[in-house]
Amino acid sequence: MRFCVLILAALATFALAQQDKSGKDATSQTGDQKKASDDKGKQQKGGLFQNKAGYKGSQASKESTTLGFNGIDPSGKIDKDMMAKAPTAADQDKVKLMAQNRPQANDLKAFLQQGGLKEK
Amino acid sequence: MKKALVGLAAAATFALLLQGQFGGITDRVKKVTNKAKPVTDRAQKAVDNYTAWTTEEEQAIGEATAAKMVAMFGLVESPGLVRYVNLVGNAVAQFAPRQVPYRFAILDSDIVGAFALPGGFVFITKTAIEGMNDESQLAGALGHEIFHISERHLEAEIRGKKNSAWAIQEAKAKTGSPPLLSAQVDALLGDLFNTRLSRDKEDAADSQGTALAVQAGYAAGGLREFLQNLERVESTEQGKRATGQLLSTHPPFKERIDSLELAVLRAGAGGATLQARFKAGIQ
Repeated sequence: MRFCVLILAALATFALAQQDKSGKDATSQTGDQKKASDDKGKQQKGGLFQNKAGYKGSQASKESTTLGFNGIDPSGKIDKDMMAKAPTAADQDKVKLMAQNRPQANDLKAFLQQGGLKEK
Repeated sequence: MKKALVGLAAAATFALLLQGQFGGITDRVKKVTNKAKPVTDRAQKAVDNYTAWTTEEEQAIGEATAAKMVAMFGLVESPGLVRYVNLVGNAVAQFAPRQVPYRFAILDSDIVGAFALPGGFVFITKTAIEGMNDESQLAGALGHEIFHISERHLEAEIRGKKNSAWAIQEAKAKTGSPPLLSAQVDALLGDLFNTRLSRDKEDAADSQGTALAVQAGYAAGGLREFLQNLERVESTEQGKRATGQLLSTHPPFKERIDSLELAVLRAGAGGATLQARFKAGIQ
């Protein structure tokens, strides 16, 4: 009888030790997953490159595109929904405004001179 | 065990249903293809009778296509950045063999890309600019697009594809159906995003785009260095997604970098890189 109790106690101790170990493993795994997730989040937030274009005064014209990869599948191809978007009058106006962004001759000349570039 | 068997049976049934569905679709596609043959023949005729777009047609097509690009991606409207990119673009464009009103805008997208549309519309993505280190790299990338426009590469490529949606639309227009600009724009953008231009056109745009930047006084290695930057990130998860579209329509970065070697050597050392101005300009 005493022998049986000893064996049972040993088994219980062993079981508890195993439970503790698996608990630690699970905690450690969750920690690793969290770290990986955080790293991914940082990468997404940080962008592909370190530079930040248009950081000052940048204003995205469409809220839907501020996530960047909207409409782009994981392989980088543009999806059908994105391709199906129809331009609004506002989009057409923005295209017309592109002409106004062409630099004046004197602005271009000053820019070329400042950079030591050549004028045709 | 029972659940697994039920699952397997359901999967097998679904697979059979799918096969039936797609079998039906395949038959329908075959029928439609057969019916479409006369239209393709007319497209062939239209291609054979091809005359280049007039300046007005090119502008109208470019403007309509540009509006769709804006609808799809949105623009980054930072006045300083827009002004800077237009100044660099026009510094290079003044040496383009064909002069059209070149205009530049920045697409609000995390993909790396630049797009040349008929009539002088050049779009570059925000992330492409972020992947550059100096002004010579921006000049080289814009030079590539300017050369595509100057040589009417997209137009020529689309016309050359006898069965392209554009050619079919053209055929319909020329054979009495009303011309549908929006459908043509869709077809053109479809080709722009999905068509790999011929290798000689891409090589020419790389080498001649570089030559235009050099003529303007920029260092010859700009485009090559930008491509090297992209090559460094293309294997990352985010990089694959960002460069996937570009790589689906252009040769691999490594091949382009190697091809540019000669153009860079020919141009020799020197030329401006203007790193500080670039850093200030893109803010």
